[in-house]
Amino acid sequence: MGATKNMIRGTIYTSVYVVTTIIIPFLLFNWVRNLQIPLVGEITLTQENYENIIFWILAFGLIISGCAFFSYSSPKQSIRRAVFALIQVIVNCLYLWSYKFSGATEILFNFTISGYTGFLSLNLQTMVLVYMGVYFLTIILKIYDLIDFSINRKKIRENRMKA
Amino acid sequence: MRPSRVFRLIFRIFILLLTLSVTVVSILGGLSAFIILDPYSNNIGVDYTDASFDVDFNNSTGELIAFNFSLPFNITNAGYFDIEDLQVAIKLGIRYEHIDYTVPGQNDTIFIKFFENQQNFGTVTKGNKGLFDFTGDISNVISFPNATQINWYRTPPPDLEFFANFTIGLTYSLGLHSLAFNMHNISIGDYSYP
Repeated sequence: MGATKNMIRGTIYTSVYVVTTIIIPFLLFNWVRNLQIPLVGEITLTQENYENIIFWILAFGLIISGCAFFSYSSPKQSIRRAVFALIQVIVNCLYLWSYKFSGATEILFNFTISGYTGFLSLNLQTMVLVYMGVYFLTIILKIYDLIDFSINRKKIRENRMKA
Repeated sequence: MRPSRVFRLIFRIFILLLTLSVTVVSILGGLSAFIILDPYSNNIGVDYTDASFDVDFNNSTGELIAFNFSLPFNITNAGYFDIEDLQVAIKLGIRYEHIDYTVPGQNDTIFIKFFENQQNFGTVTKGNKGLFDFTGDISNVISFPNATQINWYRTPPPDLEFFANFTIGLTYSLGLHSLAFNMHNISIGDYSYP
């Protein structure tokens, strides 16, 4: 029964990560790629590396989702869970970093409004770096978990048996 | 609960609060960008017809001896955070008929970039409107044609046509977002020999 529950939990979390790391960014980039505001003009995303960005989002998104399944389907406070959670956070960092190195953090929109032409550029590199800092703290937490689960393995098993 | 788990819980809550703070700031920053840049709102008010020029040549040599340029503009910070590090960069170009440019006796209409300047206007606090005046003088002039090289009897007038590339740069969301807004080849005025 516990195994089934773990599998269901793993599947739910995988779905959540597929939506947040693949589907939402993919739809967002497709939406802004050819944005047209009625009565104002045409706004075009000028990002030559668009295909590259989508590739890395998809690649890392799939790895994160896979790790999420193994992490959340593992028993609570198990070493297996700690290992997969640590891998998942590290891949999450690479996923965020992929936004930076693929050029997704420097978005350039060309526009034509009322006869005027120009561009609007948005740089999100600092924001990505702040998130990287938060992920670094999460890595510390996951390493702490791994050490804790390894040291207290016997006690955790006894508690699991009692439950 | 084991003491190690209590410590972990506290650390986890701290990370959660940190993540939520950054996320809220990012979302509000993105929302603010939409509010400020809304084309119907006129939050960025640049009226190119208000641009003023003062061009003066040496009567004997025809060299440019004085040039002053000013462009008033305003920015209304309708967002949730202060606009910081507001920078404006303007490049000016001139189109005129150059006497004997390629072949003696033949006048060619050419376009050159002659002015480049960047100014920092600091911070516009949230909810406030900043009124600024971008200025430039002869020290910002890269190269200007000699008056003797300009055809002052160009038909149809004007003799000199001024164009601008205009870029506004700013940081937002406590420095998390950087925005730049550019418009190019805007006709901002002309000048004919009186």
